[in-house]
Amino acid sequence: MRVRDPFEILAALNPVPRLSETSPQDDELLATIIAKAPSTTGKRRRHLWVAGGGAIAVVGLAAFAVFHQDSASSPLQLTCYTAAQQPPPEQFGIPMEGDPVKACKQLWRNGTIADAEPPTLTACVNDGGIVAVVPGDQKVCARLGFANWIGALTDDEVQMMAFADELAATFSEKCIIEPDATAAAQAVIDKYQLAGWTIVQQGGYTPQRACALAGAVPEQQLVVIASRRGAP
Amino acid sequence: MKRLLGGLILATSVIIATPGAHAARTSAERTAGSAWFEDHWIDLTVSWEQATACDVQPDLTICYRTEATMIAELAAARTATAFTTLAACSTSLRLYDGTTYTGTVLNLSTRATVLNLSVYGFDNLTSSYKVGGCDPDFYSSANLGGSLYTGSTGAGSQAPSMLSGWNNVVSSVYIY
Repeated sequence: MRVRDPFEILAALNPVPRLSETSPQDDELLATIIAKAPSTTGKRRRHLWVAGGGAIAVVGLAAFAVFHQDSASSPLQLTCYTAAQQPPPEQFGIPMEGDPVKACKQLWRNGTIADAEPPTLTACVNDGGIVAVVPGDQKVCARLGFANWIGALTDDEVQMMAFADELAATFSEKCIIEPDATAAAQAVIDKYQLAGWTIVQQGGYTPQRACALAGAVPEQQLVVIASRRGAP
Repeated sequence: MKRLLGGLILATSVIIATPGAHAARTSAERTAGSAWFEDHWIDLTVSWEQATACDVQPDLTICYRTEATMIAELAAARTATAFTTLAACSTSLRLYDGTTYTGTVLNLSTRATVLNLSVYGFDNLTSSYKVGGCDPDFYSSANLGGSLYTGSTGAGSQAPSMLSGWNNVVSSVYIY
């Protein structure tokens, strides 16, 4: 039995007879195609673009990681680290100031942290959302997994500090008892036109703790009211 | 009026042109005449180095290379002071991670605000404490919630360990 070439079988099935015909031009065309090496110029250029773009992206990501800047979610407090490690052996939580580095430098100079020349200090934003001033240069924040602090208080943050100040003063100047506390806090919120803030009453009132205190928690948009020491 | 104000600023400062030899001193050598100049201490009784203007404060004297620099720095300091919000207690509350005042330490001095210890990475860590010049309240939950610590926390008090059930429990603090 004759074994037929599969290509012959396929050719026999072809409904277009002219497809099985060959011409001298076909051989020429085939020879030209085989002789011509495939062009790699476009591919190489494309590789260069990809490599260049990748390098730029890597450098950009590295710069972002090292010098990523952020503002504090709680602008009322800052902390001064005594060492560039997380957690630090000792830290000092103090009220926020316009220049946190300067505020911490003061602690390094006046004997609170040291009585010596302050090292280079850098303001970061720690993972708790407050400004942490850490010994070290601009890279120290990224090394500890923090962002660099944006460098200045925003108008909103300054406004928030004023709000917290007024809230605390309102409740410390006189004895505000529990039934009046929410309204007193709401009045300060309204004065500063803060939208979306809530008030939480923590209770704890006793004859020895009959008056209320109030404090702002900016990162939660919350005003906390609790009992405070002392009788009216 | 501006001239008067300028005069007042200068009146609180001592401004003298003083060429002279270097007299850098270490902090250990600080004397009554010590002043901070740029990045080191100098002894004004010996030499002002390149400083030409000094701001004399009760606890610290800072000198500057030029009068203009000093005025600019003092103006910046006044602006920063204007930003300062809640007052600080003169001596801090010290919270310790370990009993008998050991381990890592968190010093707190911000008064009249809610101090959530989680923002300092110190939530549920307090095992002993020393109170500074201002009375604090300790709470078992954030935002002055949960239970109120009933141990002694008056100004100047201290405890090498917490009351029963309170070890590694404090989550928020309020300083009066």
